[in-house]
Amino acid sequence: MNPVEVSHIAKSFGTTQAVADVSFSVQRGEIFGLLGPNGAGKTTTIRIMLDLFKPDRGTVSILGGPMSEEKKERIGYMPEERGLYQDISLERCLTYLARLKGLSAAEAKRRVLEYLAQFDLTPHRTKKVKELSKGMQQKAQIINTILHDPELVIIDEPFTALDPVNTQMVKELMRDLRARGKTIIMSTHQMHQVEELCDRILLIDDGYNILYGDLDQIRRQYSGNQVLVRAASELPRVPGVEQVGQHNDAIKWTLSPGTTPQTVLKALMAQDVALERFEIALPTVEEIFIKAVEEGAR
Amino acid sequence: MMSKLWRVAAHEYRNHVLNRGFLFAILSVPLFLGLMIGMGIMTDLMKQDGRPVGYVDQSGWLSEPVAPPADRGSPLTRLLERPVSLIPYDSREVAHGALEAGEIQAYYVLSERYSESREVELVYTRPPGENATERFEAFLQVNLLADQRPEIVHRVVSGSTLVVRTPDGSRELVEGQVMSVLTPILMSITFMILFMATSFTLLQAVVKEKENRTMEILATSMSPEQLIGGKVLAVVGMGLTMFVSWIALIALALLFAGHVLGVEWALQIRIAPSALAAIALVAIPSFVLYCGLMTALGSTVADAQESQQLGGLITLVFGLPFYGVVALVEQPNSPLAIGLSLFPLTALMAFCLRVSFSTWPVWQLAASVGILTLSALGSIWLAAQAFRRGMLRYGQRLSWRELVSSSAAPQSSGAPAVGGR
Repeated sequence: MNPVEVSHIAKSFGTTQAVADVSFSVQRGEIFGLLGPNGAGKTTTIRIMLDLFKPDRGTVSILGGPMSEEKKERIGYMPEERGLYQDISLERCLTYLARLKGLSAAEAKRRVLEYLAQFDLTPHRTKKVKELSKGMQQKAQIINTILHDPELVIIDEPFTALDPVNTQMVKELMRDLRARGKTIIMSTHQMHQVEELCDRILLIDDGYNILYGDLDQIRRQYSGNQVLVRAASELPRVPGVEQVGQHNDAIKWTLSPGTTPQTVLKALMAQDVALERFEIALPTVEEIFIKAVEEGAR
Repeated sequence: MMSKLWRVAAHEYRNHVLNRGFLFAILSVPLFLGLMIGMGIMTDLMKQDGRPVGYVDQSGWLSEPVAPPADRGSPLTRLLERPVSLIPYDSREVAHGALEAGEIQAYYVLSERYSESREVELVYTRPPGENATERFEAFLQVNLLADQRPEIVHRVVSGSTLVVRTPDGSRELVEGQVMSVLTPILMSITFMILFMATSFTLLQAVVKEKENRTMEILATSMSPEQLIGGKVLAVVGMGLTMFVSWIALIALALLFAGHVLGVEWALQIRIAPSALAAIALVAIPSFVLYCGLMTALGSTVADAQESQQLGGLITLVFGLPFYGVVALVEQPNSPLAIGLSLFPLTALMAFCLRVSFSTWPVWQLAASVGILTLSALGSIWLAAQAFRRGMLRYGQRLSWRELVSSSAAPQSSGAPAVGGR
């Protein structure tokens, strides 16, 4: 059974429909991207999954059934609205929150010290949380999310306020968690991170599923009318090419409807062009995102 | 389940108790009392005049006067009272001259028929100090009893002692032991201060967790009941710590006053153990009830400022019996008194005010404690519900109608939570 199964959930707040009909499942050991424009219903969906809100209709199965107090200890959650106790020391704050996740005092302390060292926060462990920089607080928040070794990690905008070095570290951490069989649900607006990390995605807009499935398949599904070509000599004119553009060291051809990459390739081969590169141009997640949302709006 | 509740309680207790604010709160009440006593002493000193007092004995009764003992009163009295000497004058004119000249603060004139009439006239330009009148009264008393046996002198000087007993003989009030009557009333005031000081801390802690967004993390780590129960437990523990500290400090002060300074009343405070037990039985669930209501309030309001304003209203209801103190004292077993004792929000103050002047049937105490315990548990439940619904409503207020109407459908709040959709 999948760690997360969400089936046709809906949630309204007064007259505002936050989630209209959202369904998805998250497989064990994958990084799942929950995407959508602002106000799409991502946060409400997450809060319904975590039993912070009850859905008006639909069902949620998390770690094999409804949410329970015991399951809370198997889930790590980093909310969009960050929050740590500001007036106590970093070490004490993390140790206390880890203990609320079921760790013993000794184990919580041991893990806190370990993670503080890993995240270069050891020199700041006795400082009050409010004395830390935004980036440090973000790292502390991430530590808090994974400290108790959860099976399921739900993480909202994990890279906000992180510098490139720490962003890389968090990415490696997420890959490491995935390698250890942990399931990660990541909600973010940083599409290049999605492209780099996620195995599958769900794009929601206006409370509905817009796009859902394997990321590579989706990119292939959205490709087909563009190819990247590089040749040793100048490229000849080929019928069916509507638009010519530059893409790094290659030329990007946008094909007219009815023209396939195979047709173009045959035409190039027929003209005996010495090709160095010919590939179907996969759209970026950002392009897919924009296109899917625009299509959804129509 | 329970372990998380205790973890929250331990964390919150440590947070609240181990800081300077708490130490200040502990010392504030004894300091306040000390300040009040100090001001009383200052006022008393200002009423005293150190100049001598004269007297004119027209009856000749004081031809060979006996001086009153100089060491009367406690060490504190001796320390604070300015000694006044007595000067005899031969005639009213001479004494008056001395008064006009400011040599004496007043003079007494014993009439010619003093032995029969005991008539004494006091002449002054400004009322003499209390130390002067007390000194002259002691002087007269000593001379009137000069030829009596010591035990009779002692008995007369001691005067009468009025003892008021309840019909069942379970409690009694001895004249002069005013503090025994006042103590339960002072205790009720102390409870109010305690409730306000500690539960506002709780209320602010809840609001702060909403404001600094810790709520969402806590809510995904434990149940609202565990969180709220732990917090209330911590505050009750904090309150008891504060209360015991106050009692200990006041007891030390009384012992010092009684044994070192010789303040007699300080050692004469007596409260029946049964009355104390009854107050404790009512106080603990009252405290939990108050904390529960404050937490519910903290979970529903938008910010700390609003929480303080509304918290004041709850405090006002708890203190309601103070406004009817005269009625409660005059008729401690009236329907009003019984009603206030049974109504959970006013029970503690009503019992504290009644305990000095009456006894109450056991059924009233049992009913009150029962109602209070149920109300306290209800307030925790209400606080947990309010927390569940209000925790993600940053900067927004949860209406009581929403809270009550949505109790059958958890978390179906009427407005979107801030932080996305």
